[in-house]
Amino acid sequence: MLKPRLAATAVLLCCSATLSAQSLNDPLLDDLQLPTVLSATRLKQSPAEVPGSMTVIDRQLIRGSGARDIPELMRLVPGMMVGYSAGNLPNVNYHGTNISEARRMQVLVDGRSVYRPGLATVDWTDIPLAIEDIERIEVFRGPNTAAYGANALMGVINIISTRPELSQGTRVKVSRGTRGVSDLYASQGFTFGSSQARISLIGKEDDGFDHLQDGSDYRDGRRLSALNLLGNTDLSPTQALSWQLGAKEGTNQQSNDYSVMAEPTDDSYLFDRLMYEQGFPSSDVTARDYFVQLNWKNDLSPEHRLEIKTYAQHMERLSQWRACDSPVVFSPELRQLYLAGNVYARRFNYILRNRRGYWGDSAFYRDWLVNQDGLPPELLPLVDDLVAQHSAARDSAPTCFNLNENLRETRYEAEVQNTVQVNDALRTVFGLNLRYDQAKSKTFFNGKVENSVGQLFGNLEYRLGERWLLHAGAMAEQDRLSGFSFSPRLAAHYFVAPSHSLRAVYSEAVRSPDMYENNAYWTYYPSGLSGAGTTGDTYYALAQGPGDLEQEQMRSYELGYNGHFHNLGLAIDVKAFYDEIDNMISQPLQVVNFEPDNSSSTRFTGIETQADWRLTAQDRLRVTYAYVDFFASNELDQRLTPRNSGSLAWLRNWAGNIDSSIIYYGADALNERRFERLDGRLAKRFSLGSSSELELALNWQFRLDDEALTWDENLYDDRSHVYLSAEVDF
Amino acid sequence: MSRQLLCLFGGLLLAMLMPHAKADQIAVLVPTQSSLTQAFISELTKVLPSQRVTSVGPDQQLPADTSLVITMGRSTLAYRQQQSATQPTLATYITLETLQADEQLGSNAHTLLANPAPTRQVALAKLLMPGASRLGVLISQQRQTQLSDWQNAATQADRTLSAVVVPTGASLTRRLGEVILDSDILLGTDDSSIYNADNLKTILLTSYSRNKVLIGPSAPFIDAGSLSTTYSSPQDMARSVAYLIEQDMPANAASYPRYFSVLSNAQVARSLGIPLPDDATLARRLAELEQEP
Repeated sequence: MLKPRLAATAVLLCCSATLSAQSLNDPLLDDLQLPTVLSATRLKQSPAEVPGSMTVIDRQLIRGSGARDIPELMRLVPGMMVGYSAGNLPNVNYHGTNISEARRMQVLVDGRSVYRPGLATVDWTDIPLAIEDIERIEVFRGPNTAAYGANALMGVINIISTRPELSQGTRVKVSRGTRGVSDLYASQGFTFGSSQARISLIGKEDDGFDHLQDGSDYRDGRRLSALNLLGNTDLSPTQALSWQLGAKEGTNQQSNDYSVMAEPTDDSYLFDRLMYEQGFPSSDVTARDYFVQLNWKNDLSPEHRLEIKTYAQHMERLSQWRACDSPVVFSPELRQLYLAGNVYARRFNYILRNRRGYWGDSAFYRDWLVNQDGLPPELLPLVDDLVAQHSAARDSAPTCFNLNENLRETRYEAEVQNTVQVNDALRTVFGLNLRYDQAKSKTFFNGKVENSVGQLFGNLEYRLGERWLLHAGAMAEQDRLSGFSFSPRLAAHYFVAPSHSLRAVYSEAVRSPDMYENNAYWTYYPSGLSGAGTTGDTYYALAQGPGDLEQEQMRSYELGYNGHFHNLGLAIDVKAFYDEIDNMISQPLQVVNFEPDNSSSTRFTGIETQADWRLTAQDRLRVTYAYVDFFASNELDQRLTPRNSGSLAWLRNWAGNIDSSIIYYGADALNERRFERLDGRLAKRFSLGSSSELELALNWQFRLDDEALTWDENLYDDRSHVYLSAEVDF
Repeated sequence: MSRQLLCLFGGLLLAMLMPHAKADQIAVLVPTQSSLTQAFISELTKVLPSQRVTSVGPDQQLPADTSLVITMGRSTLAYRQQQSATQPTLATYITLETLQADEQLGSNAHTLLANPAPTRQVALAKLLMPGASRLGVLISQQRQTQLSDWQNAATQADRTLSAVVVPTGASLTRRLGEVILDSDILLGTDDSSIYNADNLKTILLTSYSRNKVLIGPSAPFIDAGSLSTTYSSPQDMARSVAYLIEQDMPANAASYPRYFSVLSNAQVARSLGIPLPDDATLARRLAELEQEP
């Protein structure tokens, strides 16, 4: 009897709910005039809707890892290969290619690219940003040229600062530990008018790896100080400015990398005696970075957001030192021989030091040069002349001179971006980007190289019912130095359930050759000459970019699953991929033997997964794993990639304000060397009054194997590394 | 449908059908005619078929035989209290904050509160985010007496309350940072010195940047970016009034409406990967939970 009436009442209940929504802003309920803050155009895509694979390193992980630098955090990203050229020169590559030339990923800090235009590298150590100020790092694993332009070839690392609203008050943190670790961080958050801001001071120091194989000190330490000021200013309820500026000054140790042509062999000559006596002065790099950026956001309506982003950035890498050698290294004759073929200059070194006891013999080298190395016989007198020049100088003091590898890079960028929610089903992001890059260096470029880049980009996101989400995006880019490119991306998501999607992604991407690869004119112009006089005024070796290099091309195919089990607190992502890069430039950047071309290619196939499980309110488990199979045509691209790599982390909050974390990192052959490390962190917080707190933390890293880290000389004396930090917030 | 629901609707039907001794005259004081007042009065007429419901504007006299006065909003209640009236008064569309700001306002009347009940907001938070064990509440010094209700609601739901009081004149930003750090979800309070158009952007953007959502403080905040809230529609309010009339409505007291709805922001939920049942389902489940002993 009651049932039909009941149903009728239920209908009434649901109808009234829709009806009432219209009268929510009645004056009776106060006329609130609330702005739509989290509008559709402002909300980020949920992980299940991203057209690709994404790993987010959040604040808890950053803290729990105890990492002092961003590259160390990248080990938490599946497929990311982290190595070191030296203690102060970390390299981060996704999947592989050449470890020393990590130039196929875009790195952005709050939207500002820190990828250096001149040498196409990222100087991780020199970014004026404290790890304590990072809110999260979003790593887009896979090409994303469609959204970020050339150089977002194999991935994008997006570093996002903590909003100043979340760091009001004062924070001071001091760290001390083994391996010369001595860090300082201090920040102050403040509010003025309608602005919220934070100023941070950063000091960082360590001495890198310990010893070279010959037992001498490995000069790869670093010292830096930096300042960062950022803020948000509300101009109106719908308009806001984000602004940021930073400066960094530091010294990165670097051993003298001048290779002597005429190595001393015989004490009876004055030249040789003095060469033995002279030390090897360091060629430490003074690194200065400055930037200022301004981002204007205007919500024209809840459905249309307009953003304008601008920044200016200047980087200086200054390194000068004194070297001594035979005066022949500045002779036009040696340049002529070098230009005939790089190999002849190397043979000339053999001749001067009488390698193996027979290279000094003129009958031997004349025969070898012509018959083995293909030297045109008419150039033989040139060799004899050079040998004579050196012999003549051997009874006098060597030629000593100053040389430098100074490089100053400047970048300006402006971008206009529109985000429009056309209707419930269709969202689009489109815009225009203009960039100007300049690299100045007498040594590397014989002056200045400039480039300008214009981009038009557009992305569409179309929701087809509850089940399907389709993406289409493209970037058209005109690069003055390397021409036009068009990079499309297509993706489709099928939702097996809300927040559980299967995806298929196809994307194309490009990398423009950097200024060095294409436009290098690297030689040394000595100054402050002393000792034996020279016949010329430039160094014999010359690395010259061909100027006609083409862009590297990538095609990527991806199938994936992303799911979030809300009630379990479990998030999973799985990705299977096939990537091909053609037209690759694999040659290293160096002054001798520099002959870059587009002849290399690489293929990657594999599977990657990450799972993040908030097991209880106190426990978090996280696992990542990557299986990568590759083919690389260039041997320099064949070393880095481990077949298996991954990480395993357990983070826990204990009673009594104690936090702990244990993280395992492993790779079976990272640049041909095993890498396994266990990191632990134990922290306790003490309350000091109502809103003051002290945190003491012990960080411990332990290498589970005894291999060098990516290169033979990258070794520590002790497998254990311990550092303590104390942080006060008030 | 569950037994609880049967009881709920059964009660409602009973209230609707119960004949009164005689048809009473109910006067509803309205500040102005609006879609809200019309919806309220039309629903009230429907659920109290045996009574005469008359809408009375600001300049109009009460009908002579009025036995109950219902005021809508603050101005009509203040006006009503200036009069020397003998009939009982039921005040609607008054928030707890309004009552706290003017203690005289609610005297000699029963106030049916317009702000969501803390117990319901806590229950809603628990339903949407079962893993969120720490509930963050931000409140100004003047309104901190509300905290005991929140504390009780949290305790009852087996949740930890993480309350931060913003001292008068102090910066909201810093306290907001503290509460976001110490909680898994934020619950909006009936406090216009915190939840207003000027602060809302900071509150929502800052909490969203840490993947923390806001429940409440009231329905108008949902469009702005709050995840979800309970609220009483004019129809819910009218039915709650009818229910109160059937009960012995104590004077000089305040209560929350018996009937309510849920309003949520599906876009915010989707962006944060929070599975969101539809609003009617949520309201039904909350109502069921309230009926459980």
